[in-house]
Amino acid sequence: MLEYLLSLLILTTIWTLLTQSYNLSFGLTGLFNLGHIIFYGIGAYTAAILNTDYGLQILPNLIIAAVVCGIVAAIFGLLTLRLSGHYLAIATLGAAMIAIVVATNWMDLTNGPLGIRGIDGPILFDLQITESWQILLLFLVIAGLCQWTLYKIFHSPFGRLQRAIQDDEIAARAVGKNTFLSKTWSLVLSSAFAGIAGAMYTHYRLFLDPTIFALPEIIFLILMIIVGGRGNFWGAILGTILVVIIGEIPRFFGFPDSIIGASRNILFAALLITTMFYRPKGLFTLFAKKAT
Amino acid sequence: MNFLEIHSLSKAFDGLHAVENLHFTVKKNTITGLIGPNGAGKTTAFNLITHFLPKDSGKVVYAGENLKKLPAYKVVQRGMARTFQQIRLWPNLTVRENLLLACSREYDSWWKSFTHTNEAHQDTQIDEMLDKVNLRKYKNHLASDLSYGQSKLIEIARTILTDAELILLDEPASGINPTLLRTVEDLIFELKKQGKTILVIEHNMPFLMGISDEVVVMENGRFLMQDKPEKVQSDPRVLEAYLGG
Ligand SMILES: Nc1ncnc2c1ncn2[C@@H]1O[C@H](COP(=O)(O)OP(=O)(O)OP(=O)(O)O)[C@@H](O)[C@H]1O
Ligand SMILES: [Mg+2]
Repeated sequence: MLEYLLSLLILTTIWTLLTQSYNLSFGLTGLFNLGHIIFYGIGAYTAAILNTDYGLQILPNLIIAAVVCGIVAAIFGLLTLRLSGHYLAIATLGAAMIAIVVATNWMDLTNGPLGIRGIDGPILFDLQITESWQILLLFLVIAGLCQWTLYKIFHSPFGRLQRAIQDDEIAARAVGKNTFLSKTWSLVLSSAFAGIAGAMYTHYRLFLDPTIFALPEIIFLILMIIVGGRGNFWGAILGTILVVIIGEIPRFFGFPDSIIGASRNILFAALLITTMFYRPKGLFTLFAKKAT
Repeated sequence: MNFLEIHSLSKAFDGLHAVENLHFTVKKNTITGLIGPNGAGKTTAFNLITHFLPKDSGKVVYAGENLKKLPAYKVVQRGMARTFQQIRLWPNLTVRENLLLACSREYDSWWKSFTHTNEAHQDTQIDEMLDKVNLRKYKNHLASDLSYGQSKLIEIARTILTDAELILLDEPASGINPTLLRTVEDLIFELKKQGKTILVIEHNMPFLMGISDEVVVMENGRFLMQDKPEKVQSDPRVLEAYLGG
């Protein structure tokens, strides 16, 4: 039971970072990148390959995963962000499908559907971390640093500009802002942090296969952000925790495995609809930092 | 000296010639009016001059520079800023934030998020501006809380705060009460005193003729005449354009 709880806490720490990363591009800037999950997957695969093929450990892998995802996102941004929002959605969705094909078929690199096994757990300067509570602690520190960075970005003039772009991009240009560049940076940063979350996942799960690119997961990210309030920093964190807790309810009440998935989805749908009807700005508007 | 020169500017929407072969000039440190019946193409001309719409053909020369295909945001950085006929504030941002975004670009990069960003200087600028338009007490309200007239003033204030040399106002007097109208008038005169150049679209003739040094008249997307307000008011072609339109 304790082991299960620790595992849930570790995963929640990773998911919270993933949600927050999406909260930057989707929540704050209003970019409709339906393929955000690919950056999670690319980060995860980057770490897995670097570890199993090149013997690199978690810390360098986190950084390299961030850089790789940032570069891929920059290419997407430069190609699509000058066009209307639909292009980004279509391009990232398309890329996600390509990513699945690559992960499934490029056997030499990814070992295909069999997945990559034998990944090292977190090793810090030759110190192997094996206990779950130690991993949780380490991940809280790493994710905490990332969250702090994102907090700074959210509440900076750059963050203000992102909210302005979401509200009315033309008005932002009318005061001399290079909105194309700003949106691209938002996408790059957002993707880099998703890559870090993916690399953390790899070094926790120690096994990786193409299901990491599961596209429908984007629904959960959107759910967590809508529940928390788009662009609301603390909302994304509380939204993720709330969704995790609600997702555990069927198991907690001993529902049979066969209907756990379905009953979860019903609860999530109810949560989404309730939020959109009664609290369109999110359940946690109370926690919203006063505008800067 | 001509601060702004428009040469044979044209734009068609699906065969409709919204602006056709338009040409006129704006002299430095003057207030120039731009009038014409509804649908004459005034707003489209603004969109073309400020590069918010790509032109089909023609040339915009601002402060001696042919703007060619400069992106709209760079046109603003060169010192030409405008308001919109349909007000474009950021409704989910506060009045202060709406104005702050115009004040400077020095902190816009994300990596500046980690260094101390002191915006006290901008706040002073904003307070002064809010005092001029009597909206200081709305500083921390959301822009969506403002009335139509108040929004209009804040949009003008925001445009001024970009530190533009040439300011284009699209119907600043429409839909606002006489008191606010006086405020707008004072703002425009003060800008002129500071050496700025202003181009104004307006249907309120007494207001426009009262403030303009020169007036440009458009009809059906084309240039009709450009002259002193007195001359324009008594010109039979202008009367006909309005009655016939
Ligand atoms: N984006 C657009 N697409 C299609 N037609 C347009 C567009 N913008 C303007 N037009 C058309 O171009 C013509 C000129 O419109 P414009 O808004 O420039 O006129 P205006 O002089 O500003 O009029 P008003 O005094 O009513 O504001 C109109 O016939 C209008 O319907
Ligand atoms: Mg108009």
